[in-house]
Amino acid sequence: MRQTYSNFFLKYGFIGPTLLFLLAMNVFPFVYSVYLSLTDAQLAPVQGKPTQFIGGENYSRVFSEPQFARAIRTTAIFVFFAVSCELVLGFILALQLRDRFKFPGKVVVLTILLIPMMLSPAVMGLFWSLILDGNIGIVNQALGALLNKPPHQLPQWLTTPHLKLFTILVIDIWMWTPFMMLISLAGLNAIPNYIYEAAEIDRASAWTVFRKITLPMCRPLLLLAVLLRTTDAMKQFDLVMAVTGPTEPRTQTLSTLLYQIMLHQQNIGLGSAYAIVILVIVIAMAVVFTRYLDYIQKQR
Amino acid sequence: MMKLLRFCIIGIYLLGASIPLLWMAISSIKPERFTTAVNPNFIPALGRDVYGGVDFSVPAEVQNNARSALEAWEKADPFTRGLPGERDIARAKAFAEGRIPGYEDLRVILAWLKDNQATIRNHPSWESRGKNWQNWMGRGGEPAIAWLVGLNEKMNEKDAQWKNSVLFPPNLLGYTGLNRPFIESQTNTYFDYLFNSLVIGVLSTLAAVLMGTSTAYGFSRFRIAGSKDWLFYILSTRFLPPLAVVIPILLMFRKLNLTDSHLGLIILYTAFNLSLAVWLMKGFIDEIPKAYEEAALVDGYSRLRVFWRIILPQAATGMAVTAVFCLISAWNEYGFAKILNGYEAQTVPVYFAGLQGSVKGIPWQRVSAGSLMFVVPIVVFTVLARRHLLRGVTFGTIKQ
Repeated sequence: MRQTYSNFFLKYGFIGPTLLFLLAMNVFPFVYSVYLSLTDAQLAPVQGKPTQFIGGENYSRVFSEPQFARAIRTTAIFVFFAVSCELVLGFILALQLRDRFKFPGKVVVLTILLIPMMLSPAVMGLFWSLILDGNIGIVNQALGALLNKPPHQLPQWLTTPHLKLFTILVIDIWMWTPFMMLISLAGLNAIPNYIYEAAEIDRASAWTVFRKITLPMCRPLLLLAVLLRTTDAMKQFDLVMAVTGPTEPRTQTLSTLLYQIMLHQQNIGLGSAYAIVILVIVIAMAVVFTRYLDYIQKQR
Repeated sequence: MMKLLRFCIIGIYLLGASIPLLWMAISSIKPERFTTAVNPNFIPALGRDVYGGVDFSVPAEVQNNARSALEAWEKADPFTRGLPGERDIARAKAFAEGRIPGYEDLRVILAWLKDNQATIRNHPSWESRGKNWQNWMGRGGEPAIAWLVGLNEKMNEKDAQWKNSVLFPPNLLGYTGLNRPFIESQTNTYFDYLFNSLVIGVLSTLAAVLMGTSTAYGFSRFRIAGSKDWLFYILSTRFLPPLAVVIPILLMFRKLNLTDSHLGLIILYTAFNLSLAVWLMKGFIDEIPKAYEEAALVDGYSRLRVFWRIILPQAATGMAVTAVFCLISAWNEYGFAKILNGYEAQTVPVYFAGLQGSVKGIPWQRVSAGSLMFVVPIVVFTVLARRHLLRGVTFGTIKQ
């Protein structure tokens, strides 16, 4: 009997503090957010005007304001193109770099290719704005030398409205293609060689081998990578802030919309309503992701 | 043929992946006027004398004027003598000693003079500074101005030779200038922000790894009701967008006086990194065979002693790898830091991303040097942890 008691305390002594800490850091803010979303709270309270309970008014505003639909569309476009381009590029790269092909200095090449995903998006975003600057950026200067045109007649990556989202996409793809490559490599390298040998004996064409062996056997890991990247890309905030700023309508993702409402307009009541709606979407994504992770863990 | 194609793909992507960092390194040793000129000078001409043949010695008259101005200032009553800028004094001292403050500083003086001559009469804020400076050069500063304008012409002649080449004269002013604030009205320098990043990153990493290791041990070795649900709950905290949860935290921190402090962000980053730490450490601890522990328990070791003497030493590599990933994610974090830490405890990413909107132009040479110093530790850690990268980015679920 004594043993079980001490065991109980021991067990929760190991995990208890962490769980309590995380619950405190998550549950309290969530409940507080729900409360705020039902009021007209301001970030800097106005003197003599107490915060009032206004019921579901904020929520009806969320769904009637066009900026929410626009931000959802921008985020969806961003996530779709970023994740698919990164997946395709990363997979192509991984095909060239898998274990079957050996060349000297491969470890160095792999390490260099992996570095971008570890860097800070905010700092690199600022630096990319020097690289892509319309006049003094190296990209336009090189293009200008090739096409024999002055740089200011070339595309202005950072200032032309319809190019801004594209620019952010390019930077994001630069940053996260290595991630897709890394996971694709793990999938490709796990395919045993004898399957390829068997296919060779059967005289399968390269395309058939790719379609019937390589792709299906990598699929679980690729799906994991896509889910992971999607949940991450949905949060996109740093790059937008560093490259175009939070108020530019063409690049306003959900996170930057929240920033504008809560920090610029200081309307934290409405902002919390937005946050709750966004959290519901994100938690739904997270549930899908964790279930899939569970499935993959059982498979391996 | 296929092989050639393969190397082409790898080569092109290698170039694309590494150019931003290379360009950062180049920009950090490139004088600003070459960064902002429409001409890609990108090869540092090491060991070439930029202004060879130009006479930089300070004329005797300028020297004497500066010296007497300094002496007069030192003798004057400290309460009424006025406050010239620190840089004015430094320049006057340099001139008095017969040396020039450096090419780049000369450029600043010259640019300022050029602006000044046109605007001094109709711009009130310039007027005080202009007079100030002219007083500092003694007798209205006329000889100094004449000398500097002449010098400027000679330097421009020399500059013209770099116009159509890919070379540029490198210098280290980007690094030596980091102890001055990027925006003149501010007092905090890059190193203050770097210090903030370091304190917050290191302490939150320590806390997250310690808590994460013990939690992972608990989940790995004990039978816990609903352990899988708890683990997935811990993981899902990582997916929350900072912007959607930050406002209640901001209000809470305001009540507790934690905004704009190191402690606030340390607590927050610990919570943020715990998901990663618990999952990574669980992967590592699951790999340690249970036999050692069981033997030790039979020998009469207590659980805590087992954890301390047997598990921790064997999990040391795992803890180091976990620490690297936690440190990198705290080092790079932007969303929370942007909203919670406005000024005093600002971290480097927030400071740099904030420069984007600054009106007066960005000092690119120093910004590049600063970004490079910020990024190099990450590159080093990435190289050290390269075997475990896959684990790190998939929360320890895929092991190679």
